[in-house]
Amino acid sequence: GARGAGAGGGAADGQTFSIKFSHVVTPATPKGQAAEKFKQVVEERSGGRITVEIYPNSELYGDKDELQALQSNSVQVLAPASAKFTTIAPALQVLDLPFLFDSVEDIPEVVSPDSAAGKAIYESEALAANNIKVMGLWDNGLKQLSSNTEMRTPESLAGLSFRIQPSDVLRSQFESWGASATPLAFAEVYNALQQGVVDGQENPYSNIESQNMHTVQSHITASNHGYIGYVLVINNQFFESLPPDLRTVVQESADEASAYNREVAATLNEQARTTIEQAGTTTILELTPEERQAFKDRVVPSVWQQYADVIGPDLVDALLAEQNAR
Amino acid sequence: MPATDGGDPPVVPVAGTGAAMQRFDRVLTRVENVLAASTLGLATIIAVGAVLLRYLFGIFLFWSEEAIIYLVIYSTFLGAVITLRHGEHVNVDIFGAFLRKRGRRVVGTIAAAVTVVYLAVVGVFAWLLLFEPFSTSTTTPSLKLPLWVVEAAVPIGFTLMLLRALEILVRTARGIEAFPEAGRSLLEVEADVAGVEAGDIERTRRTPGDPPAPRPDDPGGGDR
Amino acid sequence: MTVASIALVVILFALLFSATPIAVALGLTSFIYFFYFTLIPLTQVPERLFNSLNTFPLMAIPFFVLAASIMSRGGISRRLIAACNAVVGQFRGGLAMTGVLSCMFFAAISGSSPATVVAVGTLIIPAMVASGYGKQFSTGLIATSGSLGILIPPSIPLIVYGIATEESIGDLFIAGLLPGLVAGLMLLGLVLVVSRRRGYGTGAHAITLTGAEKLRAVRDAVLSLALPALVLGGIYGGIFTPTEAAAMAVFYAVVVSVFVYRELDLRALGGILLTSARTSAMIMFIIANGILFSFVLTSERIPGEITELLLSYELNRWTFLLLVNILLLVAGCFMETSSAILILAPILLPIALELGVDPIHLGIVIVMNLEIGMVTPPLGLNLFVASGMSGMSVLQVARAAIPTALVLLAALFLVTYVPAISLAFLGGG
Ligand code: NA
Ligand code: NA
Repeated sequence: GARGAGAGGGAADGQTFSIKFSHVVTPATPKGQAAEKFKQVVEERSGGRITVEIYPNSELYGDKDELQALQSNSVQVLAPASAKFTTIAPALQVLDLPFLFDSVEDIPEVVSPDSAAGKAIYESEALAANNIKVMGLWDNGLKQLSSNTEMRTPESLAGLSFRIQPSDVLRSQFESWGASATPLAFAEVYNALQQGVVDGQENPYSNIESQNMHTVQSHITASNHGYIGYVLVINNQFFESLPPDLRTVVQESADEASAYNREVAATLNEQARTTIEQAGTTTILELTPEERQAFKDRVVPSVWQQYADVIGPDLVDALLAEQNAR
Repeated sequence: MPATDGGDPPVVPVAGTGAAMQRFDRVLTRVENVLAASTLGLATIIAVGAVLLRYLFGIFLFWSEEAIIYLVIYSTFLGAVITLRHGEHVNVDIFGAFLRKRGRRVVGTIAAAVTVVYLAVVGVFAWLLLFEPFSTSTTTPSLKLPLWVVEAAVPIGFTLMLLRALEILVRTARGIEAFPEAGRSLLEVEADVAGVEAGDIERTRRTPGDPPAPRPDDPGGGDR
Repeated sequence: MTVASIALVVILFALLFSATPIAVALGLTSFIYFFYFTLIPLTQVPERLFNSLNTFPLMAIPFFVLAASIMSRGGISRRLIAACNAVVGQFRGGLAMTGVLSCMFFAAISGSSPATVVAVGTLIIPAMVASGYGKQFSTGLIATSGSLGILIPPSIPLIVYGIATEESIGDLFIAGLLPGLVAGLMLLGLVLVVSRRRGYGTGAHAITLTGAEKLRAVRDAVLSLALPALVLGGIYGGIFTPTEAAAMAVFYAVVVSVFVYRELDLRALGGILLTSARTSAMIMFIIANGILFSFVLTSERIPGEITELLLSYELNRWTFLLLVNILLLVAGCFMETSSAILILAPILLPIALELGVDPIHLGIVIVMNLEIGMVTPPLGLNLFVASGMSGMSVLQVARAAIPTALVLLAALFLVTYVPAISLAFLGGG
């Protein structure tokens, strides 16, 4: 029917809906594959009452404008990097907190919808006010440190400069380790490392490998010190316009896609780590629990408390209590 | 026309416009020119500064990229007003060469009317864009400016263009030369950019051994 | 094809052929699509226009326009021509060869073709005519040689292609270099043949310079010739992004024109900024509306449908490239360069990838086609400019440019079917 994005035509009962899902990466990435999974499950479970059209590769919207498009219901579903939400919902910087997770296995529990951190994300009032509903959290993975020197202790980072995503929390993290931090676009990282504009960087293995960063970095410390993830969101007004049974279908499909994404991401990061090891250009250093704790002690709780006002004092207290209980 | 002067056309009065209108026109022209040029200039200074600081002193201006983009966007939408004022927006004038004066006037009027419609409708929604919730609640990542501040380049540019387009429509429909800078062709724009003086082009035209060159205002060339 | 797709095409062409500015035709068609065929809020139209330009690589365009403008005002055209004349002036047809060579060098500073035609043509056409080359030949030759401006880097259309396809603009610039040289050399070849047959540039018309004069002319132009080296070397060496390189080109141009050549007063920069802002706005406004229209096409999934349709015809990469050439030569007649790229590249690229055509090579082929489009009526910017300069009508210039355009066409087929010419410096081929 005319003007047919979002709700389609048809009688009240057999009404059909269409979801546009836009993202900025290729279909082969964990995000791209999870998007396909979401489409497949939604279309199957809704018996064709919902169709999902995926627009990958920024072909419809890019990093800079997809959130505006979502808020105006020009697209219905997105999965932007969590950092993209910090201007609308600063509390989502909770995901940037160093050592929020100890291993990949912790992720589902620490940020489940019922956990303290999960509530801050899934029930964010700031996002709700902007007509955004969170349906899930998709992983890129846990970050590792890389540079051209061995990094066994936080002291060994002193004086080094690291590339970060634009984030105050990440800047404070590196400064607490005695290093300096420079925000740079992801696409520029390889060149910056190669030319020595920065000494090191932090990323999951899959990003390090796909950008060939390991070819210009002699050392990686397997620190698992931080998280990079995507927030799966839907336009809330559109979601509410769905009949109750379809709302359930969409949320369950999102859950299934999220679980699938977590698997794919973990596998991909392991494969990337193997590739890096086989390339032979980079030494990967495993930390003992004590050594990792030394990195952690420099930033937890100090950096967490530094951003308590932004993230929410209660949430930070709850997270610290959780940490101590673990 | 001095090649170093990109702007201020002599104001050709439209019948029925008063001195106040002309004054308004002159002031507006100046404002458009100064803003379009200075935003581009500032963007250039920032871009050069950012590169030099980075390579000479290792200093990153984390806000430079955003500032450059937004300044150039302002320069584009303000510059488009000047382009419109001079009738320099490129079009496909297939029939122009075959039409007589009357026919050209009809085609010109249609094109001007379409332009007015476009600028008016998109202009209205451009103003409304500034009041969208995300325009007021989102801030730009580095400069932390409210989004509507930078988006405002669009409605401002469209509104100024609409004023010019209306003027052109009235002139064309009445059969008055549409553009205050009569006969300014793409050639003169490019000559301006390339720093070529009008006199040099005149010399190119008047090379010997050819049929007599048409007068500059002869539309037969169809170059606009 | 849906109703919406057909409506889009019909409306766009109706508007274009009613002499509506191209940017307006693209923008209004998109608005009509949003209004009639989608539920997308209409504030998204201006929002798209804004975000179309919200990308750093595009910022190279105003900076390259500005750099070329400053260099031109600083007396570069004269120096380039003098230097080229010192090198090839003594040969038969030397002045015409100087014209072609100067266009090639000026192309390495300017990202646009019409600007190249004006900058070189103003000085060289009268000189050629005075030396007996004939106005037809002189005007046609320079109108065509000037079109090298968009192939030899820097190039505004290659920037636009890079943005439309997310390919590296730096790689595209490097890939454009050899095809540009090949096309330029073939034009020089034509000059040789024609000059020999018609006896151009002999006897009284031959220009003789002493060795010292030649040396001085070349030395005088070295600083101008260093600009392309700075731009390309910086990009190739991974030191600058194309946008940074463009900014540095402005810086270099100011230093050379104001402080070395001393032909430009700092106070004149205001006027140059204004004309550059105008020129770049003309280009960028088309690009903004072109990206908006391209969004509409993607939203309607038209590129995907065309890809599927064409792939069902069992094309191989060579027949596909032939199809690309035919399509673009036709498009080049009617369409403006940037909008043609923004509309067609997203359609052609997926097919190219499917058939194993290198996306960088495809970009060069597309731009070479559109380069020929610069001298084909009814819409050919070089024709308009050359017509204005020479006093000949657009059609007269177009006719005069036929032999040279045919040479470009031959160069196009060479570059199309020998991908190595484009990919040589990129480790491909
Ligand atoms: Na060029
Ligand atoms: Na053409």
